[in-house]
Amino acid sequence: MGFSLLNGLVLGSIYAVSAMGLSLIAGLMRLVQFSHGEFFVLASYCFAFLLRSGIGLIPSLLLSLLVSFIAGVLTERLLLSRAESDHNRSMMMTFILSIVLSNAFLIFFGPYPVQSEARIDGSIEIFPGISMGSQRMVSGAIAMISFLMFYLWVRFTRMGRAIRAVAQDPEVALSFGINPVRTRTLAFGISTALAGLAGVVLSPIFPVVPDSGAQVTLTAISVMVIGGMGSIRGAAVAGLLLGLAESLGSHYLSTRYAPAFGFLFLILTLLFRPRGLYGNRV
Amino acid sequence: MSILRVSGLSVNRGLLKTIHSISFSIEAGERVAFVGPNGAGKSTLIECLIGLIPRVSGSFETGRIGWVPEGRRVFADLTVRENLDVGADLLRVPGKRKQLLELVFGVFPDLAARVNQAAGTLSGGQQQMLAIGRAWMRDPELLIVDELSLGLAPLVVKDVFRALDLWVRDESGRALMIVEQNARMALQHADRGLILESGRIVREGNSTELLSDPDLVKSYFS
Repeated sequence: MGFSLLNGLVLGSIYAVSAMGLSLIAGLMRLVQFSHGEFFVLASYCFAFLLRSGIGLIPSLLLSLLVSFIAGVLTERLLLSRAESDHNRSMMMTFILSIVLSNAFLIFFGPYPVQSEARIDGSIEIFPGISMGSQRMVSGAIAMISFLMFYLWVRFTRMGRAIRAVAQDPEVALSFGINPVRTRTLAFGISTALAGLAGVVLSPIFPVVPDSGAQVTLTAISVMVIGGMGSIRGAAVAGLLLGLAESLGSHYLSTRYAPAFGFLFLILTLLFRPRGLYGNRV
Repeated sequence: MSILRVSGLSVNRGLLKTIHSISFSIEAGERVAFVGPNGAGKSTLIECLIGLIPRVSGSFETGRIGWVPEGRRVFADLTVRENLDVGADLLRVPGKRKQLLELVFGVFPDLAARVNQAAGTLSGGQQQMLAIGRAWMRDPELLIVDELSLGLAPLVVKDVFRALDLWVRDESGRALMIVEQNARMALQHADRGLILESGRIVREGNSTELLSDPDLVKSYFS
């Protein structure tokens, strides 16, 4: 029970990080970004191969995040900005991009699972009788710290405020000197970097294959919808709840049903609170 | 001193020519009303002046513009304070932000009492005050107020216009551009009026003169 709770929190904070990125874009660009998971996979591969090249843990982590950030910026600049805020077109673009990217991963990295070798051995006894693998603890801690930092960034910095202002009224924001185009590009990069961060912290735990992205995107979309589209806080809370539900569900029922809990949760939310927990807030 | 000088300005909206080569200027200390029916090109003119749509020909020169948009358009999910901070984002003079905040809260104490409240939860009148305050935070030379009276109680409108009057007179080098469908109200609060029809200025004059013109009374103020 104690272990399941902790495990749920770890898993949940990783879900939260990934879904917050997706929700940021949903709020800002009114767009469901279907290639979110591919940026997760891209960063996982990057991290695994960079580690193997022997440049060390922290540089590998930072470089992988940078790669997913730049990939996001390029995607927004070269593809999405051309759709001229036609949401259906942009959505189709991200959908196609997800197929293209997962096939590119297959060509470049092959079909076999790749796991990063950032093994941190041993376990930590947190409460008497409850211990957890150090690996998971570290992953969970990184995820938790980053989602707190991201939340504070959106809430309290000038740039975060600019993003929220553009999300609500790009024209008025522009009249006050905020450049909506640049804001969108930056936010998109940050969103894919968050997907990348989730990919990096999960890569030592779950091996990645070229089409892992689809599941990641689906989970992130569920979390985002449960939390309320565009709500950063909602994504964080829903991520944690989903992590806990999956972990406790696997503990008491069966691990085989774990993915089903997410969708059950989603259906219940849509039935009883269609706008999500924190509907319509960025 | 001219705050806004427009010469031969033409603007398209999509493929349609909406503003046909208009020229006018607004001097410091002036309050100028732009009136005219729906579709006269009032909104297009504003959007061009603040840089949302490009001009086709002609030119204009202006200082800093503060825009109070039609329908208020406050950032509903941001707090009152955050809305004002967005307004002040372009300020470069140190200490100016604090000074302007004092101005806004001095004129609109309702806002001071609600700094941490989300703007979307304010009443219509308070949102209008916030939209004006947000524009003031830019420390503008020209304040453009679009359809201020829409959907507000007459008493609130009176208060808000009084605040705008004070703002113009408070410091030299400020001017007010009032854009309204409600022509009588706009002219009552302005020194001078311009009447726009189908993208052209068809009449120009001081407010008392325009308000007492029998032809205009028939077509605009009845």
